[in-house]
Amino acid sequence: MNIDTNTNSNIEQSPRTKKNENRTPHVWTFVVSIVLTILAFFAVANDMISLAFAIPFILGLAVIQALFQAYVWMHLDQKGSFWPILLMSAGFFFSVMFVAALKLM
Amino acid sequence: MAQVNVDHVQTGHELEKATMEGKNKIFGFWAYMAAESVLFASLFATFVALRNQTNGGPTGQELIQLPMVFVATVLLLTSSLTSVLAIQAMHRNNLKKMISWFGVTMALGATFLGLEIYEFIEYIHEGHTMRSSAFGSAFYLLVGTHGAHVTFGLLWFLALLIQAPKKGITAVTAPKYFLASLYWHFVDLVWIFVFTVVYLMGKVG
Repeated sequence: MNIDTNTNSNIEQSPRTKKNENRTPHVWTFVVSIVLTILAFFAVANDMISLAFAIPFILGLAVIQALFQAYVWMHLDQKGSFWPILLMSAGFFFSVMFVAALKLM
Repeated sequence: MAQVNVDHVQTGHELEKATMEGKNKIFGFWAYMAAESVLFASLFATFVALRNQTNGGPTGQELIQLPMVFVATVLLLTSSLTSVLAIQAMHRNNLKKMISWFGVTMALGATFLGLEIYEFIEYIHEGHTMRSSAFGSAFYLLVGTHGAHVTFGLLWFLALLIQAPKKGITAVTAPKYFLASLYWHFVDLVWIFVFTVVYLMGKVG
């Protein structure tokens, strides 16, 4: 099919095919993000947990939040996401290496 | 003329993937984001290594005002959600809603940026500058690079929003809106780690 992609009126929405996407997982990801942020915030602000445990705890919360957002908001849960996941995992792997190497230097 | 996948066009669903060009752009953009995460990794690593080298100046514990940073974080998180809503409006072929949600995203992003600039000015008054210590250099380089990404994202959204009323939602423009939103999520993702590593860990000491 050849359509003129420069006009506004290329897509006719018929009621039959028009289907709203589900908003719920996106809103839930937002709620999870806020809750995890609040949890990390209070863990540090109120000295709720010991210092030795605080850093791994908040880093863990950050990773969980990042995964939620990557999978739901950035659609990595959809099929065909193999390469993006591999690329981002490689990026994250190097990130951890860099930080660990400079920290231990 | 690019080959258009009819299914995507008829339903309006995921129009950004209707053409091979659109699909390739999204793939290329993931490669870009992977490279960007390595760039940020080097800045994070530098910061973690140097964050206690304050050269007699103020330390992170003395400087950081957690409530303000928390508000900034919530603003950026909310703007990430509103950019999802913009893309969902795009999938429903609702140009007006898409523009409004992107507008909200921009407003939240601009407020975030304003808070960050205010924060930097406060710190400079307290003697924490790019030249005052290794901690200062690493701090402004990391947080500043993130802020530069926020600024660029705002300019990107602005450029899209100027063109959107004229060009509408088509197989050509859909990947552009989609990538701007993907970029914005990435900037938000990096901020989660800035918030954790720079601010929360800075407060822990």
